[in-house]
Amino acid sequence: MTSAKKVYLAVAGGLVAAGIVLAGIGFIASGLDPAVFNTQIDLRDDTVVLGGVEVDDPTGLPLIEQISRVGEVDVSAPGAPEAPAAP
Amino acid sequence: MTRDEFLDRLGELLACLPADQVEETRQFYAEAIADRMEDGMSEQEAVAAIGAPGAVAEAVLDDLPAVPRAIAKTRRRSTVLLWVLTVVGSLVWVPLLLAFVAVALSVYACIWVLALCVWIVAAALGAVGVASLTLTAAGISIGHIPYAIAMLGCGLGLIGAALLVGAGAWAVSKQIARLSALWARKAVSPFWKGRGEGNDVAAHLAA
Repeated sequence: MTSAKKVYLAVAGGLVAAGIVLAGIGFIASGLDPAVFNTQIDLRDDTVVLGGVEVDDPTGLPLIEQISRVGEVDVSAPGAPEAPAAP
Repeated sequence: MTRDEFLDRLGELLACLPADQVEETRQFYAEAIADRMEDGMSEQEAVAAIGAPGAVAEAVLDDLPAVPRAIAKTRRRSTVLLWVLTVVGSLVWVPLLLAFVAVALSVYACIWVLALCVWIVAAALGAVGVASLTLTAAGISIGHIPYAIAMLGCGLGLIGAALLVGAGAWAVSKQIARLSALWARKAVSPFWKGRGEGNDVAAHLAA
């Protein structure tokens, strides 16, 4: 294995390890609340919940503001047409 | 039999092959005879050691891939027969050839879709990691520090995982490149034989 590959794998492994530690610290700091990992952006009623805390005004929040500009995206299947009336 | 008589007879027996291939074969056997003469054999002994022209021609034809061999052997019997079979049999061999090409390309595509899937997983992990890092800034903006730390951890962890999966995807791609090259050689083997592949003519000479 070349030294460049070793460095690459060490950096990747280090990032994963640091990520797990930081995620654990965040989880403990929240009082062991699993909701700390939740991010909910509901464009139907414009509610934004970050880590279990509802944000009243998402203006100025990076990424969330851009997503809110997209507006509601309807991905549901179109409804069936009305059945014709019986003669 | 002299060397020239042997080569002329071999050329006549291999007239069913393309001219450049006949010439290449003649040169090959001319060199083989010359090598034996350099080793101390007389011309007649060297020619006799190579074998009868008929046996040599059969070995050359048997060394061809399946399709060119069938074409050459049919052409040796009759060129008219070859054309009749080509035209009349086109109802069979054209659809078969198209099906063969379609299957070969499908297998080739399936092999590379495996590599593409691993790259897509790596890219998805990286994209979600970057999004998590962006949400870290959002968490700081609203003053929710545990959320910001958790998102920072998720972001770093996912980017690290993306790098690890990317390394795996690179390794998988290299293996699949070898596999697809092997498949391509297998797929064209009925029609074409590489110079480095098994050679019955060389085996015939060695015998």
